[in-house]
Amino acid sequence: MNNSVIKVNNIVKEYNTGTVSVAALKGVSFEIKKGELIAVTGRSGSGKSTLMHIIGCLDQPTRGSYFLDNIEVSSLHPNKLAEIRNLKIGFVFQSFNLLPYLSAFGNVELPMIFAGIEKNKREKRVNELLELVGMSERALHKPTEMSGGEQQRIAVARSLANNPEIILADEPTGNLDSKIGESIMNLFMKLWESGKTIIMITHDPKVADKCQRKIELLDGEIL
Amino acid sequence: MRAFLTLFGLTWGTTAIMLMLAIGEANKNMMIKQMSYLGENTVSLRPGHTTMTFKGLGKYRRIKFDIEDVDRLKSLSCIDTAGGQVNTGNINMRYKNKEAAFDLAGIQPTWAALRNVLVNDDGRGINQSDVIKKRRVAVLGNKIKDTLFGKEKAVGKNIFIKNSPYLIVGVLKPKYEATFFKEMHEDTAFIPITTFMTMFNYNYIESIVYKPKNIAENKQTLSTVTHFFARLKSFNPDDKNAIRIWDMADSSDFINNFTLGLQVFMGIVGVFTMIVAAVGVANIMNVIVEERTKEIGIKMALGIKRRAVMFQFIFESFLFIIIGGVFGFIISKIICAGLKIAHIKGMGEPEVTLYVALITTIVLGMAAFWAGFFPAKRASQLDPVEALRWQ
Ligand SMILES: Nc1ncnc2c1ncn2[C@@H]1O[C@H](COP(=O)(O)OP(=O)(O)O)[C@@H](O)[C@H]1O
Ligand SMILES: [Mg+2]
Repeated sequence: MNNSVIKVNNIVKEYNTGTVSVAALKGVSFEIKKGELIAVTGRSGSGKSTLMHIIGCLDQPTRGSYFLDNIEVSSLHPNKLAEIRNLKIGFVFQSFNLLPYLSAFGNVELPMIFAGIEKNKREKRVNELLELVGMSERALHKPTEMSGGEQQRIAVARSLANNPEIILADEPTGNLDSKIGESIMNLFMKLWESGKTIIMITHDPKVADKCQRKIELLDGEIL
Repeated sequence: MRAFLTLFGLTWGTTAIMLMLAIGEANKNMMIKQMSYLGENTVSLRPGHTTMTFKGLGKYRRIKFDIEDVDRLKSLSCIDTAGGQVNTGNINMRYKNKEAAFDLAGIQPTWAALRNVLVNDDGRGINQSDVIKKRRVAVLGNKIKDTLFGKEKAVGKNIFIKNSPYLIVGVLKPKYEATFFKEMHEDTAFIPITTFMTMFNYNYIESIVYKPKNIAENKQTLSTVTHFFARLKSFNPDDKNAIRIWDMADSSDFINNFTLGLQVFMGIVGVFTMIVAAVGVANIMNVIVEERTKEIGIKMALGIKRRAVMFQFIFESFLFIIIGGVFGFIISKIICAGLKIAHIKGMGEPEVTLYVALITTIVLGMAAFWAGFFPAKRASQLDPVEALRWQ
């Protein structure tokens, strides 16, 4: 069969802003194979985030098809999409997006709660993941008590909670200074080596250069 | 602040509903209790005067009952039992050096039975042989006993009623305070009807109370009785003023309806308060949903299901309302306890009964669901991307 994890075909995304409709993506097609590390680059406003939202099943394309593990995603029920986001995809955002009232532990645990995993299994897994990202000591700290780099490590741990195939990262180093950004990047390299498929939006050429392949967008089209 | 005001509204609403239901219940219970002192399902007849001409007889003729009329009434097949009574007020009564004026009633034992005139266990009521032998015996209302005897035992002692000595054979049980019905007997002394009529030289009696054999045929019985007396006393059976009738069965209907009306009215006031409070909760929940849009977006990215989002917000609004409800419940309990101590006349004893709590819970539950449902639905249907973008 087909060994591509992600296959997008002529995807168009239009936003209706009152009278005029803006096309954020104007027919984008590509395939991503299992275990690839992809950099999505392009100027601000070129449609990178829009693309990532569609790949991440947070949004639906206006036209075109999207196959995830050979399943056409645009026809699925919202509950099924939630399940895919929960089990198959891990998100890492530029602004970390941790829940401020939960501890590091609680944030990492959350996707497993949504998946209905029982408590002792969750605890074991959270501790493993905090260990993996080097944050075991900060388990009970709230996000506000942590630096940006530390928060992003927690966010990475959270994205791995249900052991997803794919990690989607939208400028994960964008809010961090370069040295800390590098350490986060190293974390992603480690994950890639362990077999994850990683798609990373980035502005930073140094980050992009570490990836196997680049997808470069300009005004909603692939260069 | 908004949360505090809403909580206050909820507490108030709950308290309002609970107290209103409780007071309504208490009122009903009190009236029913009072009714039962007068005797349930009894009918009281008082002679009046004619207002219609009848067989050549003119208007404004006085109708009178004599003691034989009671036996005549008893002999009707539709009558279970009947009793007569005659009374007068402001009669001087004296024990040793204490004296005061009270009401005096001459009764038949059947009358006492029909009116639930209850005597303390250490004494007895007026009996048939007292009536036949015109004995000078008396049963004292508990207020008379308290006034003349204080703590001293009264049964077996002699008192002077209008300067004639009477042997006290019994004292009435204390009764519920009279409010709606004047005909309570705390400050009445009872003596045999025959003794009374001789003493005051009366030939006629004041009223007759009877109990129909079949309560269900109350109306037919009343008509039979009216026609019976109409023939006996020669008046038009349609003349409503010839004999004045007080039907207890009618009165219990009245009380039930009155109380229901009261409860419905007070309940509606409470429900409206609740609605206002619920709208407040809905408002707060909407604000909360808005404030948490980002959080909802993050959770959606992490794969939370719509149903779980809904549940979270409905649960929170329930929490709100439960807290308000519990406060209201506690306050109602305290107020009820306070009212009990204050013992306000005509209010009875309001209590947070199971019935009251149940209705309040149902109303609260509906309010909570209603207040939580729409904001929760809105939250669950947010667009994940839009929600994530929210700042
Ligand atoms: N919800 C929206 N409504 C209208 N226009 C939008 C919306 N989201 C994105 N866009 C537009 O789509 C284009 C691509 O945006 P985005 O994917 O965020 O770009 P990038 O992430 O590459 O900076 C931009 O022109 C942006 O203004
Ligand atoms: Mg972007």
